[in-house]
Formats: sequence, structure tokens, C-alpha cells
Amino acid sequence: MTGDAPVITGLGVASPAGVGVRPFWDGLQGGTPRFREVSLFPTDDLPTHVAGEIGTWTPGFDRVDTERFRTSRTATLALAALEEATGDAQLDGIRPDRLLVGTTVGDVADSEQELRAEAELGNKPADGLMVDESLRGRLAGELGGDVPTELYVTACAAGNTALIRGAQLITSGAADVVVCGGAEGMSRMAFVGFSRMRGMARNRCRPFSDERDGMLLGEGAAFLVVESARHAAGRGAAVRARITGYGMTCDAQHPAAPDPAGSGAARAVAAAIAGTDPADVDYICAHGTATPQNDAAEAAAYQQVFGESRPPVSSIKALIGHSLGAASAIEAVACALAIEHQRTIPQWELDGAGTTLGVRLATGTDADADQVDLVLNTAFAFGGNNTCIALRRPA
Amino acid sequence: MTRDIFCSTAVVATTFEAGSDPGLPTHLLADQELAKLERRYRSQGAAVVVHAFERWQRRADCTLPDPASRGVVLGSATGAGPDIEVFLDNSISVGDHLVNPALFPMTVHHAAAGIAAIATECRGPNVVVSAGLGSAWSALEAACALIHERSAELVFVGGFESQPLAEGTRGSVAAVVGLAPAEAALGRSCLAPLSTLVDGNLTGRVKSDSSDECSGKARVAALLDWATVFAGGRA
Repeated sequence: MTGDAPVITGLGVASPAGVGVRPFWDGLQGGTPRFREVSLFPTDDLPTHVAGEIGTWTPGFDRVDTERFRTSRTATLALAALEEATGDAQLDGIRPDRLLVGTTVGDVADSEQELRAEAELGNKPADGLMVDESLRGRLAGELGGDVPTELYVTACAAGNTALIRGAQLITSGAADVVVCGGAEGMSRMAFVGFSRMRGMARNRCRPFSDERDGMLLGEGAAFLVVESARHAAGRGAAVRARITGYGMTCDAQHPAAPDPAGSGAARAVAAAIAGTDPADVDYICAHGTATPQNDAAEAAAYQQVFGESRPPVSSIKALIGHSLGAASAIEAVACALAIEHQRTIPQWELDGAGTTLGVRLATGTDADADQVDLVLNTAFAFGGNNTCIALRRPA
Repeated sequence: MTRDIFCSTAVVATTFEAGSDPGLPTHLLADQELAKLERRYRSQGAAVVVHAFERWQRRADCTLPDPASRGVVLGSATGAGPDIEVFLDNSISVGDHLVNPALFPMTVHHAAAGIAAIATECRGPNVVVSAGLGSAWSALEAACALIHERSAELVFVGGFESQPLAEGTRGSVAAVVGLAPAEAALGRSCLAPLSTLVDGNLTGRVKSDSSDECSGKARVAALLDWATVFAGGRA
């Protein structure tokens, strides 16, 4: 293997907007928020009762093997996306060199109920709780069982971290084909934690709006097949997008809150488009959680990088919520589809409310950009982790 | 273009008390400084990682690269598991609607790496990877990539693990080495070119599944084995 440019040749997604790339894209364009009363666990003792839960009401849900839910919700969603991505890339017979999975809670979401029940009896896991109970093995098994598999556990930036690591493996020549993504099942622990941190909205998620009052949770999974351009060309694979840059930084200021100045986030964005005129950026699929602090810090970062040449920005969390470790993988799929369809994704859920954050919110119309050639996917996380990936239209 | 990578000696920090350790040399056992960190962060994992980073800096005794060029890559099979248990215990004892919100940020698996970055001003890439008993090797491979592509001029790389002990207690270990393209960035801790310590095929050490026996004891032992490669006679 020799180093080469990384390109994306396969996409798969399971999200509240849709399971499968086509219903997902239609859902993002349709603008209907997918929040509903959570059925997976009780929320009556908490101020928020809705989330972006995936179920029979989700377009394309028939792609999900519901038998698998009995053992792992996270793995089930992941496998639905993984199967679609590898099928989309037509990898038949080609063994990926690596599988990289971003997640926040991971398997803990699946065993939380049992853990709580045992803890109430004073019982602890014999060997202590750990990151991975079975997720790695189950996903590797889908690819034949012998694909080296790693979990990237950088919380809300985990999907982007996995994708960046995949691009590194391709660029360095350590791999020809890497499958990267993220997976997250709905967790009551996350629901409780964000509620107690006063980070949750009641009913609506309104990123960048002056009336935003917090995030709503979601769940899902997404995978992207990342391949060296030479390898893809050699087998005649269709290229959905090219990965042309990325940046990873850390604020190193606070365990949970973002740097209000957005300096670390700005460094990550600047690194992703190093050597490029910032005015060439056609669209940003933003982290945009809709918490007052995140969106203000994120807007400050964009101001530092782009100044007056503001690209259109939107956050799809307005429709599907924040699926934590899966979020930026799902958003990376959205970015690739924006390039493919040559169309930005509107910022939904504004309802006439303005923004004084200084960002230019995407409309989803031709007024946003003549062409959608260069798209950024940003993701930020607890610990001040900042990531950004630049995707370009295939040459 | 591939850059040379130099490696420091490993620093190991542990909360294990004498008599409860998994065969650790006595000079690795817990000290008062670590106890203070544990009280401060309310997390053994964060405490051992910060302690290892701070001890590494003291031992290196050199001017470090700009904070924006200092990266962190840690591997862990344990992750924030113990801190998730603390959060759930608190939830059960006081009720979810009253759980201490300060405990929640510690439940993300990279919390310890983030706190170490704050303590030692590492504003470059910050990554935590989990791959069972091979987690620290995965971290080393990812750290080398950051050096090669010039995303960092110094990367703290290693891991942290934990194992339950008798009577509900727990022991935690962190091990860290520095990687840099220039010997000067590693100061007195500089050990040798990485290529003289490990073979070039780090990719081959990344495991495909979770079939390894991944008990707490095995997790700690695997990390200590990894650190031994970088002992240089004084880990």
C-alpha cells in the first residue's frame, strides 16, 4: 500500500430522519422535526420528555433488523448503517483494512437498565465497567470477523475523529480501504446528565436561533467507506466526495464548557482548509447543538476564520437531535449528500426568529452557493475537543 | 514525508496501595500527591493520568513546544467505566432528578485525557481509542500519525486502566511516554528513536475483535507490559 488521497465511496446511515441514505436526505430537505415522547425509558421525573428516537415511525425503518434489538440497540443501528455503506461501496469480496467506530456511551446504553438494577442490590460488575462489552466484536463480525477494529471515544466529536483517523491511514499508505463512522443508542444516563447540566430544551431544538434554549438528544449510526483514490479508481468505484483536509484541537480550558472565544474550534477549522481561500467554503454542516454556550462559541470560531466571507451554515440537529458519538458521522454523510445533490441543507426550526450570532444561516436554495464544492463538517465535544473535516466534490 | 520520531522513557502512575497491587514494583505505588489529585477530580482515572503527565514534565525538565503543538493520544479498555459507576451510584442514592451534575462530564471516556490536557496545556489533537488489550498500541500508532503529518511536535501517548480490588476498592494505572520529531522536546526523558524500540508494523498490533480475556487484571497488565517497552531501565 502506498499513500494516496482519501475518497469516500460508500455511505450508510440510520437516523431519526430516515434509515437509509435516500430517506435520510429527503428528511433533511423536508424539515419535519423527528422528536417524540421517549418510549425506551421513563422521563417523568425529568423536565424533558422528547428525543429523536428511532422506531417503526422512522422512514426506512424496515432496513433495521429488529431481532438484533434484543441484544444491543447500539450495534443494531450500527449494523444497519454498516451494511448500507459497504453495499453502497460495492465492497463485495474486498476486506477493509480497518473498522473505526466513534461512540460516546457505547455498549453502556444497552446494559444500563441491568446495571442500575444490580447497583440497587449493591452489586458491581465483577471486572468493572469498561468501554466495550461486545460492540467491536459484533461490528467486526459483520465484515468477516478479522478486520482490526477500534473504538474512538471522544464523545460528541467521535464520529469525526474516526473519519480523520481513517483519512490518516489512507494518506500514510497504511490502508487502502477503511470503514469509519459512529454509533449511539439512546441512553437514560445521557438524558439525565444533560438534564442535570441544564443543557436540554423542553420540546424544540433551535440551533443558532436567538430563542435557542438547549439541545435534544437523538440516536443513530452512520458509516462511510474511505478508500485511496488509486484503489477506488482501480476497481471503478464511484467517488461520492474527497476528504481534502481536517483539523483536531483541544481548548484545554474546561472539562465540559466550550471556550467562549472559540479559538480552539477556529484552529481546527483553519487546519481543515489550510492552503485554501476561506471564501471558497460553500457550506458548513455545523455542530450546532442549540445550547446558548455552544452556538455562541461556534459562531465566534467561524467569525475568526471567515470574517466577512461567511459561508452558509446549518445544524441538522434541529430535526434529529444530538446523537453524541454518532452525530458527526451522520453529519459527514449529510455533507457528502449535500455535495452530491449540489444543495445546502436549510437551517430549520427558526420560525422567523433571528440570530445575532453573526452566522449566515443556510436556506437550502441557490442563493446559498452557485456550486456546493467544498463543505466542512464540524464537531466539538466535552473536554474542549474540536474537530473539522473538509469534503470536496469529486474531480 | 516520514519524519524521525524520538521517544521518551515511560512514566507510570498508580493508585494501587502496597499489598493490593498486581505485582507492581514498590516505586510505582500511590503517593500523597496522587491522593490529592483523586480528591480534586473525584476520578481515579483522571488522577493517574494527570499525575503521569505532570511527573513526565518534571522528569523531562525542558521547554516544551507551543501548547497548540502538544497532542494527547491515550488508549483504554476501561475508559470512564469506573466514573460511570459513580454516576449511576449517585443517581440511585439521590434520584436521577438530583444527581450531581458535576459527575456527568467524567462519564465520557476521554474525560481523563481532557483533564490532563488542561493540567499540562496540551491544545493540540486530543484522542482516546479503545481496542481491548491492544488499546495503548492503537494509541501509539495514532500518535505517530500526528507527528508524521505535523499536527503535533510533541504527543503524550499511553493509556489508563483500572481493575476492581477487594472490598469494593479499585486500583488504577496510567502510563505515558512522549513522542517528538526532535530530541530536545523530550528533554532529559529522551530515550531513543522509536524505531529502535518497536518494529515498524504497529498496524499489525491492532486487534480485530474483543475475544481477548479483558479482565481488569489483564487490562492493567497489558498496559504495564506496553510501558515496559519504554522503561529504559527506570520506568
